[in-house]
Amino acid sequence: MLTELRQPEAPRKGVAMVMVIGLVAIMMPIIFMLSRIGGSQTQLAVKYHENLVAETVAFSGSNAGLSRLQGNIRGYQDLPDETSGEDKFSLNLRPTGAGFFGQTMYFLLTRARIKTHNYIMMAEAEQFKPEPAPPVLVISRDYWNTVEPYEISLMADVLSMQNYRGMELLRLEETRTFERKSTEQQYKIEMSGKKSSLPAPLQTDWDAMVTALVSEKLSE
Amino acid sequence: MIRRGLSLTEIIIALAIAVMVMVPVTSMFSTSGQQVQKSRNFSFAAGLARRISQHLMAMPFENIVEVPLPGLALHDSPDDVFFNPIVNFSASQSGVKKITASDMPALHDFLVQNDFKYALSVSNVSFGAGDEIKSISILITWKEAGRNMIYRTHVYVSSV
Amino acid sequence: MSRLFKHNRKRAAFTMIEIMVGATILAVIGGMVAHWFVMQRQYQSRILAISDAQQNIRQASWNMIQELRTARNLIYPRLNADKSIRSDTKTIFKNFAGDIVCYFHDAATGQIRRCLVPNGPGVPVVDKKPIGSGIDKVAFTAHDVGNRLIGIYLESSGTVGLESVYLLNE
Repeated sequence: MLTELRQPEAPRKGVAMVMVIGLVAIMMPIIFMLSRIGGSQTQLAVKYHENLVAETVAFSGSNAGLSRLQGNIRGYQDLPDETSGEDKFSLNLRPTGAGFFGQTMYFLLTRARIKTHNYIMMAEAEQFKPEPAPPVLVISRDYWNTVEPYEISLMADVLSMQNYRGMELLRLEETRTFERKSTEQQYKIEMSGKKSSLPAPLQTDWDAMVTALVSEKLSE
Repeated sequence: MIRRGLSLTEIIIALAIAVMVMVPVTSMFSTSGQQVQKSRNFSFAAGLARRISQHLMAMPFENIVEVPLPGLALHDSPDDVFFNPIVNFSASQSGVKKITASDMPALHDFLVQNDFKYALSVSNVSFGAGDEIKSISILITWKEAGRNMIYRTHVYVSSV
Repeated sequence: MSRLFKHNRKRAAFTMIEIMVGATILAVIGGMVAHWFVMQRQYQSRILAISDAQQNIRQASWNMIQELRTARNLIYPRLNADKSIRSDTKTIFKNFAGDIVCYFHDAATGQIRRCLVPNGPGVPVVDKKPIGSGIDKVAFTAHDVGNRLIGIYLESSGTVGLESVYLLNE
């Protein structure tokens, strides 16, 4: 009698177990696929997008900062956050001295932060005295950028940025000195001599490129 | 105490439960596919806006003018400074390629399918006396699963 | 015999008919699920291909844009003599430090490579890692007389990326 009572229960439990295991076996790969497609790829897209937005906002902010200089803002300014559309950027103007014509020299620092993404632009700007009145001539040059999360209002961070940028500027000085010191012929020979060491796709048009380089070579 | 086999009701209930579990999973799956396409369109739109912002820097200041909504299509459009012509692998004007079905089929199909358009909203702003600056909203619009989408970015272009 | 059959029937709980009906229903459901699964696999591979292509374009764009933004001068390509735009699968420019940087597309491997040519004594060095991979078509296009604006067209498995970069430095 006991056997009769228990026996019919066992297969039913077995069927239930098989169904549960079967469902899990189907669900797990599906959920795995979902996590692969819907998760990581979309997250990457969003991260990339944030990177680009941070850059665009910093770029736009730098332009806005330059126009402030044109508007005759002078001296050290810890400029408040500005809004560019819905995205924020902050500006910092750091004077570095006076130029030959009495113009004020600055580092214009612009920072945009979108979630965890940072983009900082550092531009050198020369602001001339308004004669006799605005508009104020502003010459901006040597833009440099970093994605490191520096604080543009802290002196130590700005010095770090300047040092980092300084290494690249030292190399710029070397390349410019080389161009100035070389004659056109010497420069052409040096650059043409690199052709054989170049990868094949670059070798085909290298002569034309050397011609362009030579024509724009700096001279003393 | 002796039980009969599974009844039709039990089977239907079991199937209903299975369907109730499967339906959200199926919709989740298609949603994730839509997410990928959505992110592709979004990423593409962001690229278009950035491209316009860069071209604005190079064009004459006075040529930066309003392009009102609903905007201009990128494909099969007359020449503009941003998108048409788009490439030219030849050494003269004769080889320029525009975003048309014959010149750029893959890009053309994608743009037609999603109806990408751009619009510009331009206003003059002043941060002080004497400066000249244009504040430009770049709007990219497209259609996605019957919905109208928009991406907006903002740039300042200085006259110097 | 009748008693024995009755006893067995109670133990097994299923008749042959029930098993056959059950199996048929399961086969139909299994077939539908398998069909759905195959369809979803195909859909998934299409989505993954789009996703991969998108990622390829993003990585290549970001790597190039970062360096091009603060570059100093576009050497190649340049506008045609008749002022029409000019495209190529390679581009050459002076970077922030004044050295010459070349990006070129290797169609055989689908890679975009970067080569640094010292603007002075020294030999060109190709970066070990490509700055872009999985790229089928590339066009670097010169757009302006001042050699400051470069258009970048990238195509990866039918997905297209359109970018432009304005070189900030002189």
